[in-house]
Amino acid sequence: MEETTSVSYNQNYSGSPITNIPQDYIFTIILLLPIDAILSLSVTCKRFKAITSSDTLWKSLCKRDLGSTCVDSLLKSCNNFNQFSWMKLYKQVYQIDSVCCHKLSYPHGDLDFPKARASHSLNFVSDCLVLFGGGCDGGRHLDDTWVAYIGNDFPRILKWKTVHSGIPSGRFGHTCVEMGDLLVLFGGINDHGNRQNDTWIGKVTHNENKGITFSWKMLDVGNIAPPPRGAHAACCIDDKRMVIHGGIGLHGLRLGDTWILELSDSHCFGTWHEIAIHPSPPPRSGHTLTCIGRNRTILFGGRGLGYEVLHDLWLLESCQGYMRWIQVLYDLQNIPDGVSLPRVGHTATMVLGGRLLIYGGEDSSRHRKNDFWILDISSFPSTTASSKRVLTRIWKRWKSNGYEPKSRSFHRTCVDPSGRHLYVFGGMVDGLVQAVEPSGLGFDKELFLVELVLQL
Amino acid sequence: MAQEASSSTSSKTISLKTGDGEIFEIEASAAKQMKTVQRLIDDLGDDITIPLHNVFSKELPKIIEYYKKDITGEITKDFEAEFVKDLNDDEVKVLFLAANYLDANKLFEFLSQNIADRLESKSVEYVRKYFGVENDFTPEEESKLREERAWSFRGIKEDE
Repeated sequence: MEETTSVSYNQNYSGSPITNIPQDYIFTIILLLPIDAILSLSVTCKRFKAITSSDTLWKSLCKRDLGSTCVDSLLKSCNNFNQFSWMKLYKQVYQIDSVCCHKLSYPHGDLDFPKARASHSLNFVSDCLVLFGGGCDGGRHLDDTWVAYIGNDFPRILKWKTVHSGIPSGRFGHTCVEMGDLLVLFGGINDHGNRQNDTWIGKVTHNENKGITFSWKMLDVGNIAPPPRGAHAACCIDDKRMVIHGGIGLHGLRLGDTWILELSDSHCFGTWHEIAIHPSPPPRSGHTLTCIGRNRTILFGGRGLGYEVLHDLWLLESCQGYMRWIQVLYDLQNIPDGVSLPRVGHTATMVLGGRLLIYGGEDSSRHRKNDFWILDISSFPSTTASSKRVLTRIWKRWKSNGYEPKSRSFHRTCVDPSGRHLYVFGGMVDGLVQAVEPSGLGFDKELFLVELVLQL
Repeated sequence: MAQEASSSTSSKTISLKTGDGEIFEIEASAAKQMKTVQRLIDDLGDDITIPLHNVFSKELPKIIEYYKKDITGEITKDFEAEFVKDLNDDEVKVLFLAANYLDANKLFEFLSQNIADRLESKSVEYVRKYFGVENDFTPEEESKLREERAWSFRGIKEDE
């Protein structure tokens, strides 16, 4: 080692030596920075501009912030490789501020499609849309399972197939979450008003004679299970665990408990255990839980004990083996049109670019909504230190082009692996669609697609 | 020199000599985590005082403190927060460069994250000062670049 280098280094701690380290090491730091810091870095000097313009770097950033599945899907959809630049793509994704809705239709003359309903479950798993149960006119429950193969493109014409299995028993207000290739269904209410607490595992199967079909199996959970309920919220935390919160339990009481289900490797057994931690979100129903990646889930809205419509946001994360709830504080007054934010019976789905897309539901004035709100997850606190900050600018309203769907609540949504296509089905809508409910609302049987438009 | 009675690696210490001539002791199992040190030990043997020309007495004790905690498996988020709490930006940079030189991967990754955290939401001027780089753009070039990149700016923290 040259003595001269070490002497000058000793005397010049805050100097240029840091820029003399290999590019790979600078990349290590860059890949840990948020985008605005990387772009600030690119304006500092020519050398850093060159380093931060590397297309390989931006591909890594796309993978980091959009996910590998999404990046693969985008590559497949790309039409023009010559003009393709990862940095341009990142910028485009970042700047999306609207969605385009498309009404999906069924093959001409096809009479086999799910009837109108609400509080059903809708999932995207193994390239298929899967629909189960729900409530329909007369307050009756449904117990039918429907599957439609989607594949990788977004279809204009969809063919549903019904699966006659008789299980699980009919219900609405249940939850059904995707866990890898499986669906995990829990709870719900039937038309006698009985709350359930059984757990089911479902899977798309390919049968030689029947083609694509779906099969359900009850999960053996032993003696411990959460108290029966419906209108609770659930989502998957990782490839083995699911979390549920709240809901309406026995005697119509709103619950505020948190439970975790852990599946065995074989998926034949599961164990439930309650997470009794404080603070935790107050009791509620009709709220949403969504996994936002890296073992974190977000809870939003719902209807509380006093029947009020809520707008609080809670983050559930695991930290060194423990789960904890952190309330994410934000200033409702400072958000344009923020008064419409409290929601119940809405949907919250993760879409392209680390955003939570919140659609529909009912607001505090009992109006059904048709708007799209985005919660910007990337500005969320990731350490305890920032958990007391009141965040601003985390909510954005997106425009919607194309087909204009009816305002609805207690509909269901799911997103495909690209994160660009959100499917919406059913729900309660205004007006006399089915002309049976005395309160002037009806159940809807519309299926439409919400697309995040990208030029590829 | 007479060796200590127990010759198992866990209680063996290595002597490290900094660029400014000071000597520090480190357990052999901790030294193993720093690949540069391990390579020198492999070449020179573990009885000799290992020379580290590019690391100095100001930062080596801190590095040794980190790896001492590491071999007992006690590095927690709290420990890491405490570790960098009183360090100013220059001190973190020096440790970062030393960790790079010593090929001390865990410390290097931890400090990378810390540097990234310190740069988050800071202005371009702050980042320039931090890396000690000169602005070699013309005013026109710079304002054009800033405009092109404005899409990502969320808001700058007050320079601390």
